[in-house]
Amino acid sequence: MEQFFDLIRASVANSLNSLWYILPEFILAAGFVLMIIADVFWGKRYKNIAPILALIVLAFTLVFVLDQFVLISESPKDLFSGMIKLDRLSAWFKLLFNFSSVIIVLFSFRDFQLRNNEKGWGEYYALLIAINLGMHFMAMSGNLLMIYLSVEFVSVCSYIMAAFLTGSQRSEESGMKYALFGAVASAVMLYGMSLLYGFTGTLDVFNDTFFVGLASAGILSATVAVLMTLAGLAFKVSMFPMHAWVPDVYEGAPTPVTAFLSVAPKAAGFALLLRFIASLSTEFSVLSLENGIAVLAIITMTLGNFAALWQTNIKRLMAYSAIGQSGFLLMGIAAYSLTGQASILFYLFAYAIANLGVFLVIGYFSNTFHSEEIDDYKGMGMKYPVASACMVVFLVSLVGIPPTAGFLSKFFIFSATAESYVLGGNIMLLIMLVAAVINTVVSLFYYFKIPQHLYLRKAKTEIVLDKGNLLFLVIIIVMALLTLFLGVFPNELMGMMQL
Amino acid sequence: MLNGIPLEHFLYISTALFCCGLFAVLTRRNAVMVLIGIELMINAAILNFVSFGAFDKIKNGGQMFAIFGIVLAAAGVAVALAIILNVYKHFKTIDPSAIDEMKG
Repeated sequence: MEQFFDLIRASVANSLNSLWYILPEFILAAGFVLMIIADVFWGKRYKNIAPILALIVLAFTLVFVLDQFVLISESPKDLFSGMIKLDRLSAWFKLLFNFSSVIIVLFSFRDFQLRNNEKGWGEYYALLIAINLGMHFMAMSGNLLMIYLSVEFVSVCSYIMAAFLTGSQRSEESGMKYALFGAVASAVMLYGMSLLYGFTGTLDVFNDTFFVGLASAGILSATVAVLMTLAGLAFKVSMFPMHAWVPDVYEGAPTPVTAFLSVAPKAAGFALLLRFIASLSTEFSVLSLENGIAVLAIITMTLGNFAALWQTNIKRLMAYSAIGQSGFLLMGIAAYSLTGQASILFYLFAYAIANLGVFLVIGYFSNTFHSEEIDDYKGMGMKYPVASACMVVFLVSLVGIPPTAGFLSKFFIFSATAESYVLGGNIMLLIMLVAAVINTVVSLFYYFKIPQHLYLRKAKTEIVLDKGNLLFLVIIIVMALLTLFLGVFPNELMGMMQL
Repeated sequence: MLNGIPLEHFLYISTALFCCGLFAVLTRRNAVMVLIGIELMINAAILNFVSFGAFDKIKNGGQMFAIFGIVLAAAGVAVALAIILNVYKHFKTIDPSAIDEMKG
């Protein structure tokens, strides 16, 4: 027993020293509790208390996340005996999560369905803060236990958010499908993790014994364990075999939730995937994940982009587009290098801005004429000129045409892939590059179906429609300007993201 | 050897449990039965953690993971059951393949 005292004393001291570095997470946790209490006491009388509190909590978190860039400027920190890894990459991801959460709070604030929901929306905003907390830990975790806990944290909260509109059949259906699919994915991941733990004897994925243990376990059993663990992460990033939930959930969930799911938890999944792959690809690499990820990337992007061609519901179309975009991001992961890391971050930021923008326009339109069918968008370009013009900017960015951020992000990812093909000479990377170029051309067809309906078709009715919401319009314009700005001056952001 | 039982025996049982769970998930046409299958899969993983954890006496990672796994499984099931209850109110069925408002 005596021998453990020193160990306990050391780990307590380590934990106490680490507390200062997770201040943003403390604020989020305290904010979550505060919002639940505030909703119980004042939720009925002051409807807007929940979104305002959420904005305050997110603002404080943003400030302290920015502060972390200074805190870790010299070296990345290992906190809580390696459970949490705080480095510049995770700080960037946290910035992305908070940015998209702020946009989603503003989005939900004026969303017709959420606002006129009979059970109130206090817990909706509280859940948004809770998901944000989970994603913070996802971006920082360096231990299998932490990975499992944070993935489950985010998943369980997202199920509730997807099924939040209890009056709507579609929302309920999407929530159930999401919950069942997600629970299976996380159970498979848990089993994979237990095998990894058995092979290596440690939960710390960055420990050297982890890799040595995995290499000595034999190629087949190690591959099975790694693939099972990847299943849970694939679910989060909607990678090929685990993408089946995406169309139904994205179509059925409330529009702000869809916008959120397509950006923030996906980015968190990519943060985890980056770390997990990085921990496996050390110098004595036995398992070549490069080829496997490359094949999955090709299948994911082809499937997403081709299935999107036949969609008539705009949210379903954007769901398949999100699968396709995941494929492009996976390409960056397969071609993982230092430029790969920065280009993945830039891609995620550009994608987040454009995708949130598209969903904001969808929300703006469905608030005014209550339809999400592309058919009903006919002729709306003339009636809502500003929103439609911004929609075109976002779609151009998603396709990857200059002068938008999307073009540069695609350019960076393609060139990172080409570079690692030249360095490594892996023919798989070249095939992936060709597939990505073909997919970009295919994506042009379905993305441009929307502007075609907006501008070139005659409107079905001539009734005068409501004016759109001003708050939405302001955010949409800001996002469009951001897209254009990043497309013209990417160097500032890209320079900061180089690690 | 754990109390005279070889480690392999624990692994056989956990593999069998996992396969039963996966079979239930893939074949049952009732959301609650699917949840039970998921529960079996999680318990297989927890059994793995506990039996591997017997060899990790210093850090006790496996035991810890098992405790967290049990708690999270309960949390996930609570949410899923609440959603299924709501689905039943609207659709009067909990067969996942019969509930298909959205297609494409």
